[in-house]
Amino acid sequence: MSVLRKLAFAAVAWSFCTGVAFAEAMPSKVDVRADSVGFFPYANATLLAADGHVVVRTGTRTILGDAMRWDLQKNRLVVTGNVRIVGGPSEVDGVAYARNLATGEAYVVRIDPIPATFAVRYDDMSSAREGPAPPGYFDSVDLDGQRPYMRSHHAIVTPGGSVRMLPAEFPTAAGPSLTLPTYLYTLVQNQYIALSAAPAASFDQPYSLFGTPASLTAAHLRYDSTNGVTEALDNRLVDGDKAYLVTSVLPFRDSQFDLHAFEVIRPGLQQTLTATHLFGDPFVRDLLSYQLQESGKLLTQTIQFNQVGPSNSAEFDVGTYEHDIKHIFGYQLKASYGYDHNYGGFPYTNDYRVGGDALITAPPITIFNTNLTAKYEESFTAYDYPHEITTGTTTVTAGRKITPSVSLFAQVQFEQSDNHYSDLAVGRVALGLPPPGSPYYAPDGTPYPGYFAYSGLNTYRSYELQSTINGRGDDRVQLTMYYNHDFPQFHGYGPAPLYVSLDIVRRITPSLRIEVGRSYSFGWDRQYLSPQYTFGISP
Amino acid sequence: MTDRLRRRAYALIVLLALALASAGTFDSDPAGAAPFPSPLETTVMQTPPPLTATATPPPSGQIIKYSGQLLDYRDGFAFFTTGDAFRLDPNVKIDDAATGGPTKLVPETRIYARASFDEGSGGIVELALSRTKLPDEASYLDIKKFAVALSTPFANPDLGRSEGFNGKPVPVTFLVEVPPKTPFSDEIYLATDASGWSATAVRMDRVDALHYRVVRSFSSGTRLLYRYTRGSWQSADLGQDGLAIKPRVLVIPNADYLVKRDTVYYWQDENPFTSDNGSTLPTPFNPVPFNIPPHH
Repeated sequence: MSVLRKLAFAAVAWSFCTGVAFAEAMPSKVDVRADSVGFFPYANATLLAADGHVVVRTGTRTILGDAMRWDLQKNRLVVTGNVRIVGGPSEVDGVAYARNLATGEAYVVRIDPIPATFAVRYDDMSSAREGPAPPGYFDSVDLDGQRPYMRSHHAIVTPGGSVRMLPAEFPTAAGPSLTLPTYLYTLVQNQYIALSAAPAASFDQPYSLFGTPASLTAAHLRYDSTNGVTEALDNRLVDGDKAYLVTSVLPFRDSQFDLHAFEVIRPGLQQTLTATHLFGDPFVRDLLSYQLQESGKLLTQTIQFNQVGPSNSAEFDVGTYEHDIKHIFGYQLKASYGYDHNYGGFPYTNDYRVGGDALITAPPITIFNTNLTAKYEESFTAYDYPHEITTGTTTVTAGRKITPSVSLFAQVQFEQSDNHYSDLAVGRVALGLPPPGSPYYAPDGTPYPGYFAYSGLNTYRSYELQSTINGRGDDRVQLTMYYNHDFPQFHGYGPAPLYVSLDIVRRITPSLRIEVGRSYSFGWDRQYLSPQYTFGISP
Repeated sequence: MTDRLRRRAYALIVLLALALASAGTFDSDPAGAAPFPSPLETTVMQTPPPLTATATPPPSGQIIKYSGQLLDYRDGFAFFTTGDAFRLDPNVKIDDAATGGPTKLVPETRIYARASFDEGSGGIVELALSRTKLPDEASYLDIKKFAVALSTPFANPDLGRSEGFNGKPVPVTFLVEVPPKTPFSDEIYLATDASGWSATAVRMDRVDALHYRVVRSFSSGTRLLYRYTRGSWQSADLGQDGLAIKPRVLVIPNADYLVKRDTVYYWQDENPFTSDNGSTLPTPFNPVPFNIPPHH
């Protein structure tokens, strides 16, 4: 078992065990049962509302009432109407009970013998003192007529962590509701809580399993055109905006394990680690990448290390930010120095390289109601092994609004790559390059030009045209066409010479948008037509 | 000196009284009689609410109307969400707030009610019910004197709308400028905390080569966290220094509309400061085997 695989298994075990440990170490769960329990995750207040025969169990206490409103972001719980608090030495009757779960402060409106409000702390009634509640402590948000995100008769809340409903019914504006045996909604607002380390898929529907204020474990149902329907399992541990650790496992088809870790060491300095283990790949099973990046006032520096199977590389980059010269043009520069270890490489297994990159951009201008932008990028890499690559790319983009609802965009891009060896022909042969008379063959049978491919300029030309018709709201029809003309052209590699796609977006309801797409490739890898469909649903 | 001693003696007596009063309460004495300290049983409690305010003075015939939301209705009292209890007149009339006629509504928690107070007796003589919020009439100060249990007459800043915000929907236009290296055929998305940080939550529309736009409506007072992506968190936006950024924050004001302009300086997967070669190890035979143009 390789070191990386051991590391992967250890990380999985640690990550999932920590997630479970977090769950056990969390504050006590709160169990809510009622005739109706609704969950309203609004942007400014995440509410759990219960009506009719409300029973709230927290710790040893049970709070009974007619209605409950719980702001889950602020951890403020209000139970009103025929309130009874049981679980202590004896029962307490009241009219309303409001508790801040974060501070333990609570207020009870009692009626016996005359109405009075009492403040208590941590439900310790011996410390109760009479006095008015803070401003509007018993106010409740008006939710009448509003549709909950999900509803049930039973919810289990981990304060600050998650809401689980059993079962969970998802009402829609029209038509039947969708009901699941259970559903967990995370309350964590951290931006990294939704990350996944699994490879990209055409469709990915997460289903949360466990959640705490600092972690989320989820199963995924996925689809991609290569593997079909697959499943994945992932776990995220987050530390505010400072750090995260995400682990993903694809256990069945094309099994693999992925790990992403990120940490802000201090402002301006951060590190990233990604690792992948491919269980079924016969050649390369372990991939690892580490990056340490530091940004100063003028420059930014990066140290990067990559491991792909037995080969590895390291690189140091230093670059500028984008500078604007009097709104005439902008520029950005980068220089790099790197080392490559190519396992089994012949004649050299180790190689050093230096590189540079310059990006020049022109500010957008408008001519005849057409918005134009242009940029030019030049880059070069010189290896110790006598080999140089120089690439220049020019891109011009034009956009024009034909009518208020119809717009047209076009982009033309030329790229020239000068890829050559500086040794003499004898040297090339001696170094093991294929002789011109016996070229290699690409996997599709195309003669691979080998040495000759690098003896001159490669030219890549692409022309793209996109027209969009915007309807009401989100409704949209978009037609996109590409034409690519490369020299030399490798069949089966690179872009298809012709590509057309049509996307239709239609908002069905205020909360449901459907996207349907269909695309065609022509003349690519001896396929003259290779249609693809895309389908998506989004809120 | 004598006065100081006397004060200390009084303080000691009060402390002793406090200790005695708290000794037999809810949690400390499971077998105790009183589950909850009553204001009439203990000296620890403040003076019971001003019974004089609820005594029955001679009727004056003046009626004061006050609207609010009920906490409960029981034992001869109507409780409002301010936490106050008001005594009900023995002959209180329950009716419909809209029609003034009979109602099927029952006065219970979360029902809105317009209470008519007899200024003479201080009791509620009529309670008009509604499922929807009723317009304000008399101020709380006018009926405060009738309350049995006083509370503070201000909106709850936690549960209600944020102070100064009226909660009306505000169309917000997000207009973002993307970096020149953004692939032409890529889509730009808005990821928000309100959408569970899905990287493809809200797809934006292209304005020109460098600008994208989308309009979404939010209630004023909403505090929105958001970031821009190209469809995945591996292609999320970076800061001007090329490093990861915290989510952008937008608090929706009371406005007819709002335009939020942002700039994306770099994409995470197109960080200009990271290696172009590290991901593909060059070999003598195949240094950069199939140099694919940037849109693929």
